[in-house]
Amino acid sequence: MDVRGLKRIVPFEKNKLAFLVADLSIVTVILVLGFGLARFLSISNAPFIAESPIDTSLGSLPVYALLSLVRGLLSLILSYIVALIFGTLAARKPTYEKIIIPVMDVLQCLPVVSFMPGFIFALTTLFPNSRWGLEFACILMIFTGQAWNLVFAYYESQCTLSNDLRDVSKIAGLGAARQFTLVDLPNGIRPLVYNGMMSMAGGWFFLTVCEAFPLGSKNFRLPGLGSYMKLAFEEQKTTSFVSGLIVMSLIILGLDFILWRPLIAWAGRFRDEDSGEESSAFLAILEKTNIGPFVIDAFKSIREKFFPDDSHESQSHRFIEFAKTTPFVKLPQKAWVIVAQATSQHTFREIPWAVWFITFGLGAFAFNLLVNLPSLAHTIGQVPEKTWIRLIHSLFLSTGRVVAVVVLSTLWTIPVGVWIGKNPRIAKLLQPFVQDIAAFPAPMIFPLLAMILIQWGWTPNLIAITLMVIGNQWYLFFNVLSGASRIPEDLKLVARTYQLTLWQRWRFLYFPAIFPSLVTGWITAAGGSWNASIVAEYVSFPGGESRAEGIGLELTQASAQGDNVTLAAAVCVLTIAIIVLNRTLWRTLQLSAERLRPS
Amino acid sequence: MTTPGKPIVTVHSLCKDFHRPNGNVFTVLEGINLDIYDGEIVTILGISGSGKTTLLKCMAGLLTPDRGRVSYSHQSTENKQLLSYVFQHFALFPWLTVRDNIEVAIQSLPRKERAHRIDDFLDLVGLKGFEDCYPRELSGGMRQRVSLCRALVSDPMVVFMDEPFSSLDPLTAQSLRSEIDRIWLQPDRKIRSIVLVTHDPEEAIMMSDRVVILSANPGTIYKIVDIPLPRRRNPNSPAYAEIKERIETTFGELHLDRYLREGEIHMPPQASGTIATTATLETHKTAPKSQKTRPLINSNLVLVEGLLSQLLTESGPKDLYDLCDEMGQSVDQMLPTVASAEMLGLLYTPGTELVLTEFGKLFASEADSERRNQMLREACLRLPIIAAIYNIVLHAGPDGVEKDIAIEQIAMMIPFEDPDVQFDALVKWCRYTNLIIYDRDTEFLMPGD
Repeated sequence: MDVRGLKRIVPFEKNKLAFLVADLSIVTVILVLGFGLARFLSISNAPFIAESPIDTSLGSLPVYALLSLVRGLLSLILSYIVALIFGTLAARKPTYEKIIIPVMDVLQCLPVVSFMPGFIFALTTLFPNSRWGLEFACILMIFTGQAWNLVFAYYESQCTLSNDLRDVSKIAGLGAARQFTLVDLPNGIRPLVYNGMMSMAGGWFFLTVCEAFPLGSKNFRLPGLGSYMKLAFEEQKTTSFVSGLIVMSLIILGLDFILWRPLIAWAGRFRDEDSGEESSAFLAILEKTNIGPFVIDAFKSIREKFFPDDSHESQSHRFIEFAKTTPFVKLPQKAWVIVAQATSQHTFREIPWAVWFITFGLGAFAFNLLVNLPSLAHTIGQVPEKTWIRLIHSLFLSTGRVVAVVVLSTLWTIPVGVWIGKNPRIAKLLQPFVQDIAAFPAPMIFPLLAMILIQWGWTPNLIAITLMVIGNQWYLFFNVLSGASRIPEDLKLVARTYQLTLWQRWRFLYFPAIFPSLVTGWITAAGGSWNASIVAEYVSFPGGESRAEGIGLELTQASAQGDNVTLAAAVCVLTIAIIVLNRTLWRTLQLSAERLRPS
Repeated sequence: MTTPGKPIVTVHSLCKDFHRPNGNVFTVLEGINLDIYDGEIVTILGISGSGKTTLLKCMAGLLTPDRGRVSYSHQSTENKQLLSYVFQHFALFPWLTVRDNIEVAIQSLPRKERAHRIDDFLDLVGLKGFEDCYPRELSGGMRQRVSLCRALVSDPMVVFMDEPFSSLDPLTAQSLRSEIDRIWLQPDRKIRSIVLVTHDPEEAIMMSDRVVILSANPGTIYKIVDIPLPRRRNPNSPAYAEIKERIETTFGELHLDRYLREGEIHMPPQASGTIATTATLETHKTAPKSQKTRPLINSNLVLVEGLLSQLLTESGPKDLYDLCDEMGQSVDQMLPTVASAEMLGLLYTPGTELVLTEFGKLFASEADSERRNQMLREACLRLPIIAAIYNIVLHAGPDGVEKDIAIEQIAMMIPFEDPDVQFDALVKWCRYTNLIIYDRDTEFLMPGD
């Protein structure tokens, strides 16, 4: 019998030192995170200050880093929740699918400043006296960089779940909760974990923008690593800036070690086939500790005490029964029953109360937004013709840049990606490093780079393109790499047997083989470039700035000047451009890539 | 058969339609009436496309019938579940251990009883020691054992099995079959009946008390054969052989002789050679021409050619089932090929015998590939659907004809068939014979060169 099967029951090696090390490391991790969270809570409860003072001395750096980390993790949790809800909705109901997927396509490409005024207005009104409003806004902004690819990943996993497995749960008569925990969630775990890693990088990307930004006449700032770096650079404190960069890298490496590698290794059990196993040093530590079993045992004994020998069904049933007696559930439910009876619409009554509960919550939130923002139609009507022309002009300039980014990244990633992908050993060696480099939020060093490049005499246009390439080449690189590493060994042998020339090999083997991945990479890189335009087209640094006309500059300026009218118009123009591109160019490429995919 | 108990499952005039995304509708099952009685194993036997899995899924409540209904008798308290289902490809959750996979079926029981039961049933199917393995660590046979265990652990009133052995190698399949036999014969068995779907007549006879033979397009019950043999059946006994003969003949006449009876053997024109029609064909020549246009069969012509050259080497008529045995193929793999050859007038099938027509002999012994192709083209053009589409394409001009036009034409000529499947079959045959070329990217049909 397989050893791995036994792993769960056989007690781990009784090496006392190992136990001690393991337990200590767990305790440290928990303490550090707990400290960060406590700090976060106390700061958020502090009275409202728009622009928090930042101490750029080295000593305060760890606290700021922890605060940013807590924000990133909280928004990641939020992203997961959103992904589970919307991914499920889109996968289950074709009507929702038709709305959710195109909307996500656009949201993915909209730069964070498009959401900024809405979030700030709504949340500072909700929490006028504490810093919670700003904190939530910041978390939501980080969230806009994390959520969408998770939604897509979960949605796709739900769509590809085999019908047989669905039938099994139908035959077994699983309830909604069991269906979710036994079938839907485990089926989506792997994509959720892999994309969570990407999402985290996406969240860090705009950290400097999310933590410190001008809006209208006001400057907003929250204590955190992003604002620390920004200020350190403006005050030209080299040591602080460099140590900030190091701390950022340490956070990325640390998360990789403590969070992602263990998660990936653990998620390996959810895979279908016995192909390759990921290992994680931290997971090995986790498995050695007493803490995990201790917590589980405690949980078990509590469960045994309150629900002595009972099926899961009746536990959840009891909980639901209990929940139903609380006014939170009772009142809306009663209200809904009355409404439903009045309208005598059967379809409405069938929708579970939880959905309505969430809908009401979101509705309240949206309502709050609407009060604070003038209506969209009204806003758009105020935009003068000249502004429209300027916006469309800058849109074309930015589109040109996006195309340039895609072309430039393609030029280097195809040869390098294919070369590395062909050599599994090099790929395995390089991948973690490249992954960590890619996860580093490039905008943190954009001001520095812009300052250097301006001195070399580069034009703002070139600088913008360069910065966008630096931020987004990785999407393409990883896709090419994974495409190239999946080229079947047989086909490479065929190419060798017939002694194909280099050109023939590219023409018949490598290019068609990586094309589907290439298209996915192009679409993601282009989306990322639209996003990055706000930090690439306008960069300010001590003693100057780099302004390249474009839609990103328009967005940044409009939001900084509090010009909501122009901002809304710019978002509209950009949205239309993204939809047109999605429907024409990318769709065509996707279809032709689909033909090349081995069936 | 033993005296029938009370009906456990009743299927009453059940119909099931299939809706294609493009709006086409065709009927998969038509007017099925069937009772499953207490204490019997029933096999549903049919070739692929006869809707046997659809019927099983309707009976298990996994699909809702479009017309008619399925009802169950009240389950007794000893059955913890009304019904369970064994899938062809196991359908085990890859993220759950063997134990957890089985536990899925009995979520409603108290925790202690669940553990107890799982242990008992793991023992029963010989999975002891594998509780904490993941399905990916097991072989196909072991996985199907887990799946079987999951289906039995709740003591369901009726177990539905959808080709449970067809993705296993023959020896494993055999061992699992006797396993089920053994479980069925246990004195304290709580399962009232088993309904099994298969395409293999042999398996049906080995396993069941009754065999329900389904016809295809649309699926209807063609015949029900009782198997009054004691269990642990001996394939060499004369009674077994007699039943086998009967089922195989029925199966054969259902899928082959239909064409002959309808008198649709088209004789090749005199121009293509000297033809001496056999006596069998002579009688059918006088039969009235069919009013109904015959649907195409989705098969490969290269297999037809292979079948013909195989038959040419035989001295006389060849039995279909013998041929299947020799070729190591199952009947339902072979049937479409045989039916296609018959349709093209290359052979005819008295009973389950395969006999080459003169045209078939001529074709099989022709060495020149261009002339062979010409003969095949002529044979194809004698089929009304191919002729109609070919005419449309020929007169359409250089751009060719849209797929949709062809589909419409097909739907008009044979309204009860799935036009998309028919179109695929048409394209396959026409491409092979180089009558029509189809461009999948532009979805246009063009005449071959």
